[in-house]
Amino acid sequence: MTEITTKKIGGIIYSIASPDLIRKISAVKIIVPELYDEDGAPVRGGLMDPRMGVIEPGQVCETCGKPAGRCPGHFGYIELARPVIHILYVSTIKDLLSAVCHNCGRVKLTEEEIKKIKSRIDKLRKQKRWSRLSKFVKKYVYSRAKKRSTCPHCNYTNPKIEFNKPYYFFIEEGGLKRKMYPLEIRSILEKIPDGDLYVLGFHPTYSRPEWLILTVLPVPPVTVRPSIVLESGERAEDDLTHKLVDIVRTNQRLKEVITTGAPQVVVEQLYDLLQYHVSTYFYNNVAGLPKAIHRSGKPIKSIVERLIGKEGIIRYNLLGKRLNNSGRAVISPDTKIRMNEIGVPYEVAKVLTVPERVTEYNIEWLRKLVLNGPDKYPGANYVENTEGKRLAITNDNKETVASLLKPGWIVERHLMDGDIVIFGRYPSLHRMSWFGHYVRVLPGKTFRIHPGVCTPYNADFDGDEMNIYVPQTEESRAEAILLMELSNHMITPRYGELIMGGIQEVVTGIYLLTQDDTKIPINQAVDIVYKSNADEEGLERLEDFINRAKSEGRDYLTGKEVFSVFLPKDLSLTIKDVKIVNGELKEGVISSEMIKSEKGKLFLYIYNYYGKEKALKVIERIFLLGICYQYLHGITCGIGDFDIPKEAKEEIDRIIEEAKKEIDVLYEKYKKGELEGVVGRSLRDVYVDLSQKKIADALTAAGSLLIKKYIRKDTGTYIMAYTGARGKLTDVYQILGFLGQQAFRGGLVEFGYSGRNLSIFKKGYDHPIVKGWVTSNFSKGLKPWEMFFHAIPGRDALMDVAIRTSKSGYLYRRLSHSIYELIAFDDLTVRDSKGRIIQFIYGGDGMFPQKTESGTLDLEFIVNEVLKGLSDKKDKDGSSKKTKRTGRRKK
Amino acid sequence: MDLPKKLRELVEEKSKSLPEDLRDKFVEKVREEYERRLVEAGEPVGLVAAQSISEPTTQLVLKSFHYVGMREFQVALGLPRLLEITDARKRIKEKYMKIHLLDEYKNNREIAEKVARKIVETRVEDIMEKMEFDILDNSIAIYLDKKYLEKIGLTFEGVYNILKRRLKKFEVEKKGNKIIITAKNLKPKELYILKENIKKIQISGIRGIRQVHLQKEGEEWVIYTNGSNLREVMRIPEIDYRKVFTNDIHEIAKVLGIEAARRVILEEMIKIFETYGLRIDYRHFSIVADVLTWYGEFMGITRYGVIAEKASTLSRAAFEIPIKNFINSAMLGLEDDVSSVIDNLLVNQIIPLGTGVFEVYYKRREK
Repeated sequence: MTEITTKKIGGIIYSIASPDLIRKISAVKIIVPELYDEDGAPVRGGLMDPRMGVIEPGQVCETCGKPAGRCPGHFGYIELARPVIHILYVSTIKDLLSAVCHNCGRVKLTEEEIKKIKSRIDKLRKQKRWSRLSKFVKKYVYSRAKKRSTCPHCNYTNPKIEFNKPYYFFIEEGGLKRKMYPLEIRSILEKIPDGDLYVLGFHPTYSRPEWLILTVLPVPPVTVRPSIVLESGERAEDDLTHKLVDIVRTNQRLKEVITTGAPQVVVEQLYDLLQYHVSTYFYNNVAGLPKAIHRSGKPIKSIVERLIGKEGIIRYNLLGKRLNNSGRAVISPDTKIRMNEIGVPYEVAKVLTVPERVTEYNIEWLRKLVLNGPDKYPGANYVENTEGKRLAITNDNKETVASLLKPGWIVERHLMDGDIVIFGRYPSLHRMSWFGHYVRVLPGKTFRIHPGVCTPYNADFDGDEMNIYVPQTEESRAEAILLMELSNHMITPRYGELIMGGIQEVVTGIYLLTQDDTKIPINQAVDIVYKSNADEEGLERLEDFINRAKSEGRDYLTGKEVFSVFLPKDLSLTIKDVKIVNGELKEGVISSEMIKSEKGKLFLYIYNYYGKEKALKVIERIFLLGICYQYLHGITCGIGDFDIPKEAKEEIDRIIEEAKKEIDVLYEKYKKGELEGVVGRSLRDVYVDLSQKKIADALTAAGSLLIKKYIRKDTGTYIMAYTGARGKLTDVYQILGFLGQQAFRGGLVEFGYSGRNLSIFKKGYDHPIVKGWVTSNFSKGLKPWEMFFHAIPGRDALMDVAIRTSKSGYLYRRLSHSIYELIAFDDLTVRDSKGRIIQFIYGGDGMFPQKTESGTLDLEFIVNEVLKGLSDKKDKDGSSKKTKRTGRRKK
Repeated sequence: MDLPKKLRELVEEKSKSLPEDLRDKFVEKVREEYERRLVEAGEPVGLVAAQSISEPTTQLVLKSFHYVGMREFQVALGLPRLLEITDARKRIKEKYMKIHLLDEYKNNREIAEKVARKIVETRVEDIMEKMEFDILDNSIAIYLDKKYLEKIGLTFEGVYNILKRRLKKFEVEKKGNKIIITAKNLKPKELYILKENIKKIQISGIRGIRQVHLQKEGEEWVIYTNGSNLREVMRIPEIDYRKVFTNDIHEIAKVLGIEAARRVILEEMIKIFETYGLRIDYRHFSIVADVLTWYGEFMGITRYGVIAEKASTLSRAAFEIPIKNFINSAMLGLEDDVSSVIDNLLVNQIIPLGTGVFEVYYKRREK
């Protein structure tokens, strides 16, 4: 094995590179603008000098002797003929020139002021409040010193400095304006003493202001700007190389021109060109400068543009990591696997591998896998020998590899049942978007997940795809099992309740099952309990119930008994109407409140007091039970569910008519100005408010009438809405009643032609009936203009969603960037990474929402538990809850 | 670990209903359960808070107004209001105050009305019928609405005196039901500007409060205002200064201090999500509220606010405006100890969150 030395980066110092430093870190001095000679070999002293690092495989770096990939690259430098201003620091240079005496180089502040400012800067530096420091220096040093023209130290009257964008400085001397060259600026900046630099915000050892005027330009290694060979055999250079060629060429010419003593104009022109090239090399988007372009007209990408933005190096490459050993496929549901399992297709399992170290205990097994090769499942794809050399297993060499195998090697075997993987769905809005799942290799081409975990993933099966990652080290596998495994995250830290549980037909199924009058013949009961994957304990309980039924002379089990089969034996609980005594449902119907995902009170208690394993089992079993009973019972939906008698329709029409008439009266009043006003509101607002209230009242009247009196209660639709499985009872209002006011931006629909929305209406008529009130319902069908009105808020909502997602996405980015560092410590304080305390006790009581019952500790339950002496019993039979729950703290 | 005060009180109360011999056991059991529920060391509570708040934000309505008690009075909630808080905006859309009267007055409508009238800002433009503009004499004539003046309890004389005091540079005289202001040396354009300025002169009330609404809540009369001026309103003797509320958090921070601001941030955020039935534990908001006010002033979560205060250059650069941060840091010559999450992520080291916080030491056994 290769010896790996690890080093930890303990600190970063930000500084401005001095010319000496640049020369010192450089391997080459660049003097030639040509890149390659006639043979295509890189020119020595050119910009592709091999001493700056190698990029092509097979070559060896002349500086460090390492091959491509291992050589980090080495800098070069260009000795500039004349100094040049660093474009990103122009404003700093400008500030310095106006704050500093040109004669003696001191800050134009009195000693007293300097002393005061110094102590303040000391404090801010110690506190590491850098943005404060910058602001302070700007406000109290630069702006104050700028105002003084006479130096308090040497009484020299400083000339006025004029700055012209982007990088020209002018000086007024004796009423004459003349250009100030970088050389002159540099000589002024050089004069500033260290003590004054500190006051000006600089760090005397790490950043001298004269270094902002470049005399030496560092050239980044070739690894930073690799050239690529096109298909046509041509070489294409990086944008930075192009720019550097320009710089070197201009620089050489400027040098020549100066030495040959050419006219001042020519020198000036070339000098300006050099300044332009160096500026656009750093930043190609300066206001007032034309963009540097390729021959094709495409602007050149400068160093700054490489770094910034979502696609820049920082956010795209450094913060966003891409992984190997991952996969993506469409998902489909499978209720027969466990919730913390995931069905993986053979095709995927044969590609994704787990490295397994060969020991004398598993060598036989691994040898078998190697012999199976990469194509036959379960096989292996690669081996790594003790020297760390990787070897692909092929069908030709698998026998040889198998015979070579010995302890210490690593075999990359296929994914197998029981391996832990990390599985999740994008967008990962919360941490429950990624779970650790155990693998079940299954035939088929999709990932199979238990529908119970759809809620945290926010997944459905209309073509959703999900991602899988296979951890490759023992540490990561351990963390995946102990921290990320699904059963650790069944409770959301958002509000401390279960997020997994029954969905869709499970809710209706259990609701129907636990009705008071549900009777299930014993043979059927046994059938669905078996189908629901009952374990030993469940079967024992089933037997008890059957025996009891028989002794009572029943040949059936009640639905409540069947449901109780899966409850823990000693569970006693009372939630609202539901009463569970010693693990048997005595009273009440299990509704969505008890078992639906994101609600699931019943499961929450089982989780908190019986441990995660038990809770997972109960949820899975009850899930299946619900589905099984639903199959047995059968539920259908259809338009027939909404058949109501004729008189009901008439009654609703009457309600609408009445509302219409009442609004007519209101309208008349409003027209005549008889309406009673309200302070702060116009008469029309009052009229609109009142009429809207009438409409809303009519809708509720019609709706509740329907639900109370007319709609059939035994239909599938009604049961679904009533149990909370899908749909709401208020949906009936719109199906059989009427749609009501179609509000647009909080008011009536008011646009279109002058005085009316559509040309079919009377002009100036201000009745809700022509401003968005839809009196038809879905079963009857809408009138054309009503259809139009109905579409308006629909489109509005669509726009709203589009804007909202981007806004809330940005809010999340900001929020997380401001608080991602905060962690809880073992003394319950919340601190950031610098150890500063944000909260002394997390949330005031130190309890983590994920471990609570809706954010609090439910004392009632403990009272009951203590009263029943349950806690004693549990301790005796060695219930593993204490060991299974993580994070138990000692006093 | 002792139980927190609130829980301890609850436990004491609950244990009274228990038979005596079980009480100790109960307390013991509560302590056990409580300790099991404590936050684990290394738990990234900040990230959990950010996720817990942001995940349901997608469900918040963008353009929504909600009524506070009465139909005439709307307050912005939903995503816009959340952004106002997290950005620490100085100018917020629907500034409002809720004012309670002292116990002895609170059921009295007349006093409530009187106070309301006293609070509302009345400007010249509110009490005038019309304004005349004479270029020949360089004068402005204001016709006052006497009926309205009476209604709000002002007199013609009073208004005249206020104007005279405020416009000392010019001649102010009264003629019948009009007040004439003569400005001799002004050009017509300047005169026009003067006219517009006169309109804005405050006659009575508290600056910033443009509208008041009275609302009966139970037996009590409560005053709602559009606009806010906490310092001035709290000085009115009839009102209960302990119960005055404004949704302008900057103002609260200025008048009542940063702890009060923190409290309001927390309550406002809870209110926003509660209105839509989205459940989020208060602990998550409390972290955000603490971060927003940590520096002793109300700072937004923006590149100029809380994030600018971060000590680590790379963290700031990774968020927004990287170049400016690098430039500045190089100038300051600052040293960074690579302790933040982003720094370590960037240089490929273990990040200080969760299990990354810990190091394992072991004592080698002597042979």
